[in-house]
Amino acid sequence: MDRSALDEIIVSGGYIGVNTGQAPEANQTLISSDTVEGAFDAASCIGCGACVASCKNGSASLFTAAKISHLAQLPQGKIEHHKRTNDMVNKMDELGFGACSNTGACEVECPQGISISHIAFMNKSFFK
Amino acid sequence: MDFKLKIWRQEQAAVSGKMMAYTVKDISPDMSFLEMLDQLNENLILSGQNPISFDSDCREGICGQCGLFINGRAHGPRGHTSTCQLHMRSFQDGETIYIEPFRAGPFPIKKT
Amino acid sequence: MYFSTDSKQIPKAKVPQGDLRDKWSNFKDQAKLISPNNRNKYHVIIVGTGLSGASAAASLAELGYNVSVFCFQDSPRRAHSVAAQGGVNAMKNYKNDGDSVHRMFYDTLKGGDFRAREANVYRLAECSASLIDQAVAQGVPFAREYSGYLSNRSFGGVQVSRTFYARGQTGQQLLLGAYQAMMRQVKAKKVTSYTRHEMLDLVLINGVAKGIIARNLDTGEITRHTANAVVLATGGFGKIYYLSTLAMGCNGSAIWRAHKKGAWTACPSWTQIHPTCLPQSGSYQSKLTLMSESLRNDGRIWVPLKKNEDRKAVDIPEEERDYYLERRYPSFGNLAPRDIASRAAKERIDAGHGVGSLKNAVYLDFKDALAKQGKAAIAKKYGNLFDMYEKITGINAYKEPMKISPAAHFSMGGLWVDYELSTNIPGLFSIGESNFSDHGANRLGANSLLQACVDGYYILPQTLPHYLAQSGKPETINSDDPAFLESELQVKQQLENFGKINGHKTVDYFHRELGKILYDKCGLTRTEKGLTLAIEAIKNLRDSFYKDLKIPMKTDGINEELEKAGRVADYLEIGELMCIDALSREESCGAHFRMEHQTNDGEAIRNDEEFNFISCWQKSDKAPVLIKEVLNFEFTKPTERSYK
Ligand SMILES: Cc1cc2nc3c(=O)[nH]c(=O)nc-3n(C[C@H](O)[C@H](O)[C@H](O)COP(=O)(O)OP(=O)(O)OC[C@H]3O[C@@H](n4cnc5c(N)ncnc54)[C@H](O)[C@@H]3O)c2cc1C
Ligand code: SF4
Ligand code: FES
Repeated sequence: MDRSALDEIIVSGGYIGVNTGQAPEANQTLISSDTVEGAFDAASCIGCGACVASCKNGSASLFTAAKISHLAQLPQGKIEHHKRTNDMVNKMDELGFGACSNTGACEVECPQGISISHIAFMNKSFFK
Repeated sequence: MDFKLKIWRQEQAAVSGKMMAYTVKDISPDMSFLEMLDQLNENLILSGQNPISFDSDCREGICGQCGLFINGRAHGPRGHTSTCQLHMRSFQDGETIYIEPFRAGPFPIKKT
Repeated sequence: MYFSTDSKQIPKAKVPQGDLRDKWSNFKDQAKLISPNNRNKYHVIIVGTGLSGASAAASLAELGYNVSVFCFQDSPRRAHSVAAQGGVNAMKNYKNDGDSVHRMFYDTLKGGDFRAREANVYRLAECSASLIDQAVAQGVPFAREYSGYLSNRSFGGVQVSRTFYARGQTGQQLLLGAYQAMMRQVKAKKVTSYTRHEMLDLVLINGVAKGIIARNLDTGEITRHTANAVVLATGGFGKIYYLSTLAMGCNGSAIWRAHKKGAWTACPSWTQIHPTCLPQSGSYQSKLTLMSESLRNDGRIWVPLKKNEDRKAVDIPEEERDYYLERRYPSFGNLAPRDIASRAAKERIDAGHGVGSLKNAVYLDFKDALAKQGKAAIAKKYGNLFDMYEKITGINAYKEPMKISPAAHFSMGGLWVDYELSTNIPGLFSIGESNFSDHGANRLGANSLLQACVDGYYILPQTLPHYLAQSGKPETINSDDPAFLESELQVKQQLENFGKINGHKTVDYFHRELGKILYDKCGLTRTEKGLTLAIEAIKNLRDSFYKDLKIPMKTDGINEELEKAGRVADYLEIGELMCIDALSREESCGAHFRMEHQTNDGEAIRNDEEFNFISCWQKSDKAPVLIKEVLNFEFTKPTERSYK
């Protein structure tokens, strides 16, 4: 099947806007180990689309929320958080993915064990 | 181990597909699910039939390229396991296994 | 003769003048620039979206160039860089353990057995620190200490801790950083991404690279793409051994087709065979999964002292175990470099001490680490690797040792490039694993994610514009140029011919046979006799491929067998050149171990008098031609590479 719609969601805002060469010294901003591990849990998504396929609404919420949550948990990703969330969620709707009704099917099938708590976080941040 | 397979066959998005039956024999429990399909494909090719198209690349659960709907579940019966990481020891000898592509409106089917 | 030598051609390495420390700055100071408003008149093709390709695409697009990227997967994020587990090296000296750019340079050069260019290796170490800054800024969640500072671990072949990691998924996290940076440029309309497209030819106009021919793997359409420069970032070709740690689609076709257009291939036989992979368990197997080398930080490798031991590992008492790495290499022990660890394993397995159902493995045991550090600490470091091991083998490695064995993993060899990462064809660049550059005859763990990133983020964005600036006004290239038409026709004919053979054997059959020949004769150890036999065997196999191949006929639409046929056809040629390369080098260095050249206790004997060069192979209608780039060690003295 053609899963390029997932790439399009990332194109709409799934990144931190930093150019090559702009980065400050890596240890300048300290990040607690727990924060990084939390961000990692979300960042480990492999983009397989099983969450979409197992959802009766065909929602890509788990995939999208995982990226939003990965970046928002890190200090360097917080600045663009609200714009990113709006852009990505709007894109997801535009591409024809359904809305999330909290069935939890995605979390069960996700090979990376990504938690649906990220979806709640995404919904809370949307339109804030 | 031996299995009966019911596989969704569809040439392209525009034409309709249907379930077709196949059998595989002498499968080792240590074989991965995709290696079982490789073996089926070798037989199909040698007998001049159209092999089954399925995605895979890394075959170690990290690239996200694989993805089959197996017995009604995305990536099959074992939770938190990608299709390529699934092994035949997760199935019962003689079982009938249903194999379909992931289905979702925004994911058009290419070929199976 | 299997090859001829051309001593008149001298490769131009283009190493800048000055002290080792100043060379890269000197290059940048003098490089020609293109003004920002002119950059969008240039178009660059990058084939490959792994760490090297994605980072180069993002960086060049940020500068203002137009970039087209190609990959055969259905998303750029799936390039095989995603599978790298262990970590990425960088000289930050956060540990205060004596690390320095010079030490990192020297470790890498020595790790490669003094078969790489000093200036390139130094630059790799020099640029390494900024990569960590860049990745962190992109949101790569590297492991941290409780204090919030970045954490490090050790990798094989060095005595400092300079490896940064994100659990066991460092490659995935780095790649997602580069992929996201690239997708940001897709949004900015500076990058166009062609997924499910395979490059099938390089097009030259008047000897200069001007574009590629690609096949759309979904529709079968053959398309022409023009550019002012072409970059190959197509990764390694270790999949030539069939069973390897690489992905199913990894191939040598892009670089081989460039080779056929005149690009030199350097040292193709230098393949890293990784010591810690899952052993083969049956003939159906399609890949050998890597277990990260980082496991050797806490795991101890051993085999039973008794031959053909049939007791379970846990029942074998301590005094009947042979911790052969600790015994042979007391100062590096279980962290001996990969080539040495793999050969030592093969030696024990061949001597009858192998374990597992096929007696083809050794133990990697966490018993002592678990006792000392506790299960929680081990799970935090390696939890996902232990899980992966259990998924594949059904065995719980907290309870009994893992079984591991060597598998083909990384191609040190690849397209020859100069200091500017340009091949000998003007306008054709090669970055990441697809080139031969910094790793010499053996790559140190965690250095290749680094190399791919440094090539893409820092070097190519300086050197490629320097080339464009020198090549005059930006020209528009006509995709109807005869060179494009001719290339396209050849590609189409080749594809149709595969279908017409209509024999009795599948592509995988030929690939598996080739893999067996190469593992056996051009793998961990090589001999003159074995290599000559292999060359004949590969020729025969190639003949029978063109007589007896069977694939579904159609060339339009999805046809995986057709894709594989093209790749295996190239492998059957690359494999022969690998054997010729190994045959021509009468010494043992790094991963290249000629049985004829070893000490009484089995250590490699390098021959600096006669083989202090990089072998550059040029295609010819007759036998391949060997051109030598002699290595010049100005700042170091090649020493015997001892890890005792
Ligand atoms: C299992 C594994 C673990 C590893 N672990 C580590 C580690 O811990 N640390 C470390 O430093 N290194 C590690 N390495 C090595 C390292 O991952 C690779 O050397 C590096 O990622 C290569 O990056 P690349 O950009 O050169 O190529 P890749 O990431 O392999 O990308 C190749 C790209 O080229 C494209 N491509 C190839 N051929 C064609 C074609 N004909 N047409 C179109 N596109 C094409 C592919 O689609 C892909 O996008 C590991 C390697 C493996 C296999
Ligand atoms: S199922 Fe999990 S890993 Fe796959 S795309 Fe969805 S969130 Fe990502
Ligand atoms: S093939 Fe890569 S995740 Fe399954």
